[in-house]
Amino acid sequence: MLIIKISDLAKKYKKKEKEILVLNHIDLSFEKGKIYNIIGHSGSGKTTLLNIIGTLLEFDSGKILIDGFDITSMNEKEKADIRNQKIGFVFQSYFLNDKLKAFENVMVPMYINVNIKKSNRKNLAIQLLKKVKLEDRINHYPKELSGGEQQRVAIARALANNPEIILADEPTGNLDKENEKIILEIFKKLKEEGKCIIISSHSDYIKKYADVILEINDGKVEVVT
Amino acid sequence: MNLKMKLMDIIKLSFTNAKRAKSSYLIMILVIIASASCLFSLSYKNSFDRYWNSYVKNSPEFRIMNVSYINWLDERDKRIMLGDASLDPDEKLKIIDETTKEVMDVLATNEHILGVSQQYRVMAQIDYFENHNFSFVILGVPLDNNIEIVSGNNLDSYSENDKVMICPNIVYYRDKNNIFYGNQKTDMNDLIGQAVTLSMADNATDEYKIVGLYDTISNYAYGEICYTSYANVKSLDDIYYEAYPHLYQEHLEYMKTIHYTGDNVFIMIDDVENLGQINDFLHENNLFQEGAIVGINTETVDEIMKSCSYITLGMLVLSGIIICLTLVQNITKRTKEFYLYNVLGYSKKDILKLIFIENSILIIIGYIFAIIAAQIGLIIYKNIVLIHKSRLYLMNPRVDMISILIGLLVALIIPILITVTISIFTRKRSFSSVEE
Repeated sequence: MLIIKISDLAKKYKKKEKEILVLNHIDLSFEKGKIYNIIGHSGSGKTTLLNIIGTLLEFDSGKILIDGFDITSMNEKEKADIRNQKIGFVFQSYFLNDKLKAFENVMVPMYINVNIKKSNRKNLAIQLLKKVKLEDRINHYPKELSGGEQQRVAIARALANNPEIILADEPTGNLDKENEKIILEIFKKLKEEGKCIIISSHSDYIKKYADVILEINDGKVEVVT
Repeated sequence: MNLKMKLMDIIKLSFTNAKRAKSSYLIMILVIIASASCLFSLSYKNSFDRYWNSYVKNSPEFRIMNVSYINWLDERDKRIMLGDASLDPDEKLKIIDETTKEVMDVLATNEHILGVSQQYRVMAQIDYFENHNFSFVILGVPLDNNIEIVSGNNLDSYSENDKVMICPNIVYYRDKNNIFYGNQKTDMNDLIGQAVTLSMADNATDEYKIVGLYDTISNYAYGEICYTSYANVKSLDDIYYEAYPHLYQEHLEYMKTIHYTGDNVFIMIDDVENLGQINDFLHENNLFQEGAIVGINTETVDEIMKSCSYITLGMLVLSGIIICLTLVQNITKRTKEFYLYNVLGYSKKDILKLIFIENSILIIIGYIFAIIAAQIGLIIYKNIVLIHKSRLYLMNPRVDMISILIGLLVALIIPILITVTISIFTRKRSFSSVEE
């Protein structure tokens, strides 16, 4: 089932009066229950595409529908709401708040979600941490966790509001093979739950988990598999 | 969808961030130091302002001045001022008394002199504190609208609203070597002297309660003023007894000598602007003595107050800038954190609220400690510095509500300013990219 539809998307950057067309009028669709791996050389536009889908970056032309919502003409507040409800983000550097414990980090997106009662937040956060096999790290601060554990907390945070889409930018870039496998197994499970997982990564290992591999080259996107 | 972060959640998240950040403690210390300095300065200025305006500037006795008539005494008998032992004490007292009355009659003829009052000095030698012999002086200035010395110890003839000034003042004392210290400041001795003066104030009866002080050095009169009456006394032992019966009994066994001297009268003039004319009059009547009559110069105090105001204002601005810069620096180091909130669905407005509340929490908590620190500082200052300046001791500097409110206003403006600045700065751009 289609969750993201991109039509005629174009994005250019200006550098010293020179325009660089990073995304050249591309058309893409993403479905629920699949893992997508976006590959391409450095500077090809992988992160740009991810940020555009994640409503974090403006684009110059085209149209994007996320779960039926047209984000093209949305204002900043509406985009923020979409991010909170529909999209979960996972970054290469985890980006956890050092001042918050693991379960508190997971709770951060819930503060805005009116659908989650205040009294349920902590329980939900703990359940999510259990899901990523961190039930014994609930009260730990990020600096007390390994890289892999931090990334799992980040994934739990990304799942806080039960989004349909997970965007992951080099999620295993800082992890060893063992932890990479753990993370990818989690993604696989999420895919089986019906989530759309979009991963930007060079890792060959991820390719094995991906249902669809998309390569960005010269502003164009090609389906490799 | 229109999601919205509730205020309590904003406060909770801000408080957690503020509580657990190491930089928060540094910021709070900075806020405490800056705010306490400001509050100290502002409160001191306000206290002095209050004291100066209520006790000194507006006091009717503001225009009281000394006139010394030692020239007259010298003409009567040179032995008087020399303290010649060959002069019989009773004879000496008689000469002084007669001279005083003559002088007062002459002074009363001047149109600018509203009243004249005799100055009483009670010298009592007490072997009281740590084997030091102290002589202390009570300067009594009975003063009423008619500027008469009333007879009898009869408060009944005065209403409750009548006022007269009593001025037991800085203690003159002699040590065991009989060296006269006058009004000099010498640490421990001076403290004891002050203690004697002030304890006398506490122990006086209600009728004669000392509620005011008149400083003969500066001619400042301050404090509340109440009426009392003095007899046309034959001996000043009576004055002491009448005014301070409790003290009199307590000290009686220690008293060795009580005697009376006087070479001053107090005059109350209509306007300090007429000082020139009054001095001319005194010259004509051989009553002028250089420095004996001193006008109260408010210019110096006004200048001091002005400088005080500039200093206070400067401290307010400086501390505000320092706190601002520190908080801004704290925020700029956390742009990635704020970007993350944005990524997780927090709107720019929510993030600005978080910044504002977090800064406000730090400032308010720091400010509360600053109030306490400033008050402690003023208490220490009063008891270490002001205690040596008796007339200023009555100033009783303290952190007042106006200072607290002004300081709080400035303190709270800071997070508002910062939030507005960030809002303007990020209007056309998002928080910096996570991966940059």
